[in-house]
Amino acid sequence: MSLVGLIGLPNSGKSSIFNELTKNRQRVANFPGITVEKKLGKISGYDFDFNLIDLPGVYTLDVSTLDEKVTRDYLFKKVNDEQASVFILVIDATNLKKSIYLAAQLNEIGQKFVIALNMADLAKNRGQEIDTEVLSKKLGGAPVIPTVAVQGKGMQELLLAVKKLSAQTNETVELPKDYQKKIKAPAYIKEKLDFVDEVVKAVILKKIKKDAFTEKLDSVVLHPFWGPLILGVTLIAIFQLLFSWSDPFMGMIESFFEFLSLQVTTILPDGYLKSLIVDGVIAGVGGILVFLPHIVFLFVIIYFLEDFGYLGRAAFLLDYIMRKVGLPGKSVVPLLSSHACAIPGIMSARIIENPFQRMLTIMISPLTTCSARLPVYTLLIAAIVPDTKVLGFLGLPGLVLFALYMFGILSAFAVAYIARKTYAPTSPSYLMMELPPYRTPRIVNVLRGALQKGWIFIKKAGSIILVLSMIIWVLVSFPKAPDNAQLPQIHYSYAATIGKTFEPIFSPLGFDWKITTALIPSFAAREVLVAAMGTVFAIEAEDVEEEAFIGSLSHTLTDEYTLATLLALLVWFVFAPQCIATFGVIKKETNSYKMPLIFGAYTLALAYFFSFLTYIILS
Amino acid sequence: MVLSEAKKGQWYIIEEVDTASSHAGSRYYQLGIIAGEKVMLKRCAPIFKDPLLIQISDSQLALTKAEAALIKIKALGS
Repeated sequence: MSLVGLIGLPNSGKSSIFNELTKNRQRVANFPGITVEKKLGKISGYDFDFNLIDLPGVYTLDVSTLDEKVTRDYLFKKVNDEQASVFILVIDATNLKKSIYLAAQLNEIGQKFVIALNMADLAKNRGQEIDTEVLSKKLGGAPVIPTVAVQGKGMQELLLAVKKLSAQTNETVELPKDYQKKIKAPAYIKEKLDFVDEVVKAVILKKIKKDAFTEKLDSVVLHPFWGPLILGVTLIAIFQLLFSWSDPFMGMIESFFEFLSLQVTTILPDGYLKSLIVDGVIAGVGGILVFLPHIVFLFVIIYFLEDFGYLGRAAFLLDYIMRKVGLPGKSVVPLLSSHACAIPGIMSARIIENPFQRMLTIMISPLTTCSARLPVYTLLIAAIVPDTKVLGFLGLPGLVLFALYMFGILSAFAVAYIARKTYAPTSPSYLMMELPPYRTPRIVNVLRGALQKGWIFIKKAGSIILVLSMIIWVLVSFPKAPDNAQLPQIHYSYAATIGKTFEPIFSPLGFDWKITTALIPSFAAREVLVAAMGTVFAIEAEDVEEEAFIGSLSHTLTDEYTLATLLALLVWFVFAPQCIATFGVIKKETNSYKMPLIFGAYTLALAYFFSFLTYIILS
Repeated sequence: MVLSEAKKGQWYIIEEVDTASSHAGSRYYQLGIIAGEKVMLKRCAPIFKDPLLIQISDSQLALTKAEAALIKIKALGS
């Protein structure tokens, strides 16, 4: 079956044509070895047998970013496994002029292509008249098909033209010698730009009228006063929605798995098998699925704002501040979302185009205070901080919690700043981007995309997370406590052996083997520390969120440990990568095992260093 | 003068683009920032007055002050 490549400028509507032609039958993967997203699909709902590949947007064949290079390689037979023979060049009819350069280059290298003149209705409504026949003639006879992708208009004609073209040719073009150098020459660029002018003069019979709605909305959204205000409200709303929408679903998922393990507990006899299924498999799978609501809702919001056109505006408003630490304006979305949970936050870093900045954002996002840290902070604050008022009305525990939030985000910025200065002092980063007109978001595509993200997470990150959580289960559950055991199971486990072995390493932080042991199950998720501490100290509880349980556990901690130790533990949790899901998702998003290892190493080093500092200063 | 010094709401003509000094390189011409084009500074980002939003041809572009400083302009009609 032949493969058809979709090519075009960023924002030209490639994705909406891809979504319309493939419906749900698409596969999202990474291009080999890099993190550029590859979208493959099969034509669906139309009577044609093609596979479709959505290539990253390019302005011209003079490519500079990683994403753009992928597109060039597909054009020039550099990719071995699959090769498109025919291309659909998607042109935004409301912004025709910019696409002609690319079209002229495709024609010049002898590539066969069909032009989808997308958003033709919008251009027409705004008074534009285009001579499609002349356009086709100027571009080597490439068929020009007006389309409205979101309504499915012109799709049949488009596919018919593709079919005709693919019947004529089956050859792929080769990269002309020295072409890459030639197209950078000023004389070449000048010649092409002149050609673009010539085509525009001949083709555009009536010019497009200004988009009055965009002008009006921008004058509010980018207003010196209202702009930042709207942005602030939007960001707070994203954060709130993420919590309030996800919460009931997360509760449902948790209750379902509790129900499931209860059922299994009553059916199966006590023993290894039961423990494996209940504490290993069910807990592991449940621990993965519980991330789904956050991921899906965050991407619903992101895709909605992206489709609408607000994301680019937000990047514009935030660019200056974020640039100071070497991050793009858009990195605010992953960093903010990571305050709910780093998993969706890391996944959302894909909205950042620059690969280095995307990687940097992924690596620092987990330093922000995610909601899994809250139970730990609550417990430790209850143990350390007296419940007094500052200035008569501010509760001290609340202030400490706020300080921890600030500490998290400032650490993330500091790491970003240092990493940027160290690894990419002159990395090419620039803002220069188009702010396209606002569009009505397509809810179907928004939902479809968000659900797809959730599915990819389960498929790609799920397996790693499951394996890691099984390892933790083994460490905590084996060997079994003897029959006459006085102490809880964990005291006899590998975890305790490891805890005791590592005690000398952690004693400079004031951690004894009990804390070190409790840290091991807490790698499954930070909040597990609370239950693990309870287990280590044999404090029974029905529900670990119970106030009585937190109360007696915090008392035990105060009796057992010094202030220095408990503060060091608090600082440990600011930095330490106590979350295997984070490792899984970093592996998935960076497409490498190296990055999660670097992430683990640097956060452990920071955690150790700052906990050590805290402990020696206080003791 | 250069685009970062332009007056808001006034049309200018681009005289020269110093792409060699910028890491944005080929992005300038790809986004339509070319000698001879008409350009207008539409607005500056709030508070820090950086980045800038410009109108060129049929599109709106956002770019930093430093990027705009590499674009030489002259007033329309002069």
